[in-house]
Amino acid sequence: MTIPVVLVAGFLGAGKTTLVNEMLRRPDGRRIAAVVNDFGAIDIDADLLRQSSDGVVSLRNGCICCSLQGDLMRTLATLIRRQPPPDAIVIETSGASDPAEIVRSLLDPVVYAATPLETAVTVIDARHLADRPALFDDPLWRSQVASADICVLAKTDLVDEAGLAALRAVLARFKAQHLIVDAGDHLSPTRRFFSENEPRVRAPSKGSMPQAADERFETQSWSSERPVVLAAFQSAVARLAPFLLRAKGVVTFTHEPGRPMLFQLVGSRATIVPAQTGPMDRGGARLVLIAERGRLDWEDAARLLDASVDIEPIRSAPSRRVDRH
Amino acid sequence: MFDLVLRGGRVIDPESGHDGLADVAVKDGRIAGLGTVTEAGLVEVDASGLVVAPGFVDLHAHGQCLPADRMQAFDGVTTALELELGVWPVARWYDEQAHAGRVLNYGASTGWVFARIAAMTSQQTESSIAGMGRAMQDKRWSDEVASAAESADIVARVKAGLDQGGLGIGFPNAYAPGAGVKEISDLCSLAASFGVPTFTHIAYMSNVDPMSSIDAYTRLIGLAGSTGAHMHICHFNSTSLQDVERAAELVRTAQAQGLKVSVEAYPYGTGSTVVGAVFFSDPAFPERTGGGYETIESLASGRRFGDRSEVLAAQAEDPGSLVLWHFLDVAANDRHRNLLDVSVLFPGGAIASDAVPWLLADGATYSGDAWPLPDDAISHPRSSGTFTRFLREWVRERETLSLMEGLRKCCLIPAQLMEASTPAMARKGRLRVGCDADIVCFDWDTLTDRADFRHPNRPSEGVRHLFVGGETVIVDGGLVREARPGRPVRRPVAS
Repeated sequence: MTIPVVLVAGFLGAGKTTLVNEMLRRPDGRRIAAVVNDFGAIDIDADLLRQSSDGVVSLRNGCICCSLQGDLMRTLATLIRRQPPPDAIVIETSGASDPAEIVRSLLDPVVYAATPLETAVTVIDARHLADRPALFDDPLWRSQVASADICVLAKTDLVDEAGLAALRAVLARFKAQHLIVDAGDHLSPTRRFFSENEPRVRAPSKGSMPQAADERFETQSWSSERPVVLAAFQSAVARLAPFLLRAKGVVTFTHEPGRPMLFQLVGSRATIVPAQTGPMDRGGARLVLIAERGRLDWEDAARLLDASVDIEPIRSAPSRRVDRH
Repeated sequence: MFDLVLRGGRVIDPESGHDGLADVAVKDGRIAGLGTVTEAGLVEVDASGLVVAPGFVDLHAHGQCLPADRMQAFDGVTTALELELGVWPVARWYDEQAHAGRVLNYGASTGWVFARIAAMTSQQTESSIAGMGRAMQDKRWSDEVASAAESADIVARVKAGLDQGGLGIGFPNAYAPGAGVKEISDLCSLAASFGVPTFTHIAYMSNVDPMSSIDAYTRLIGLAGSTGAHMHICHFNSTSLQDVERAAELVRTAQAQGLKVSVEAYPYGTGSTVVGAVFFSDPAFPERTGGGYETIESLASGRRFGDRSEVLAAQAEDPGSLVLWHFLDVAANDRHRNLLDVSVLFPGGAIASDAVPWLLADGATYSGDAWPLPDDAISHPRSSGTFTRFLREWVRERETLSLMEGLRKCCLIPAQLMEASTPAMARKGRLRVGCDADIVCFDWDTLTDRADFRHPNRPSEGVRHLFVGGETVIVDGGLVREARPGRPVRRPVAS
């Protein structure tokens, strides 16, 4: 049982709290625990607020909200002990902090095993950036962008079209374009930043997602009966990554055939950890790839992944299966 | 009559090389007989089927109180030393420990960083990680080079700590990266004149210059050469990252020249990060993948690559195509397992836990008597399972070392690192007549760590009996709650 973590970074006033508020308001059936800088800034409809005790604000939809207590690891450890435990954790960092350090501590294998970092998000204030291009040279700003799996461009409505285009052109030097999304688009941040784990509680969600948003993305699954060769798999993923939003699955490698590993790619960050073995894991590989519609040639993708399958013992027909949704 | 006799265990002593069935007799806190003991003991323990070994000596234990001691006892530890951070003032700390009562033998180095906090910012803070955090209100001690006067003051304070029996000097440089080399060099010369070791958490942790780990190790080795001090490197595993092989080579070369440089490691991997380019640029890439560079095809352009330089050039053009790989389990990748092995199995290196205090949800350090530890008490799993994890995984499961050699890294090597300056350590880490009766008896087939991030308070399993100075701390796998046999490990105090 793991509880995924989304990290939200960005300068003071960039729009981090807005993003967190939105996730709390539309938790998509998840019991989200938000760790925030400033309670006062949490702007939840009064009818959602339930109670506040021992520094934790409970919402009617099952979400909770608390401020950072001392060190982050302690706050995390406390959250996962709550009854009932949260399904997901969102951490809002202070505007002055370098998320690289926090990402590093979240990637401690011991921590990751319980609370895996799902997505590191950095919110960029388009208006602020247009006014102060010197930010592009600010080391903290650069680190915030570099540490992000996905950047959210906020307040784009406050910049005219030409200004926005210029901004995007410069931003592209720091982050691949497909990893920069607009705060204003319709996909709920909860859906965007947490991958499709089965939420343990299906709360009736008030504002259900417009299906149209999902149509922007397509999903393909790929599987193999046989284990894959790590180096070849890395090579395939490296070549697919620029076309993917995320990928996730259980993979068995030839050098450790008895040990299925959980593979996760978000943006250009890939993690590999031991999988909690289930009845489905029989030594092969199963992946789900998500890309913007029309962006990736799925046949190419499947061919690349096929090439990573260990074919030493059996040189017969490829064992893979491809399903597209 | 003896106070205690352990009968029929498999007695393993890394110093003598003894590995065979024997009895161990204890009198007045020391080992009084080994072999076939005919005389009876007031307490007789049937150790048949168990390994009987010297209790483990942990050079890097920040817990330093009752609950931390108990968790480490189940990990086989009988002596827990706070050497990396150290404490200051030293005499007061030893008095406090004696007053509080300890389960394990305890000791500490002179805490340079606490002397620095006092000298540079006039703050009085508790000698602990939390105390250091509180002193960040005025962080000049962390960020700034000391003036000549401040530096002299720091050296005087550290010297006072050594005069009070501190076991060496702790240099947690990472917490005070602003400290200047002149100050550190004066302190290393001080350590050399006292003949005591220093314990360093290097200032930088990066694989990239400037301020790389290699930069910090090179400076440390330079200090060993230029001052003659014994420089001990703390948690070699966590501060070396991908450069651990190079770092190990530097340490070996320094050692071969007679420089006093030593290392310790804990058996928990850190997240290993590999940039895509490193992988493709690896000269062994064609062999590893079973295909040459021509098999790499750029998805965007459909272009095939002829050789390594073309791949590198293409990657430099489009950094967006680089994937950062985090292998969060060393088994995921042989290469990463090998990197952790370099530090954990470093010849002559000690296993040390870097155990951290047990904290409650409100941030207070838990120092209470509850057993098992409360579920809301939080620490890193290494505070509970370092030694048993090392023995289980590296020795029993992977057989990278014999049990004798594995135990050597847990008890004898750390004792030997300390004994030249702390004579009391010459009686620890070995089972010899006259040595302290710090003894662990464990079931080798079931010995294992059990703690994880969710359940850090799960004690290790398999330690059936544990004795500190001949007094029973664990019997039949259960804790003796009233036991407080821990004694100070301290250098002779100047009179």
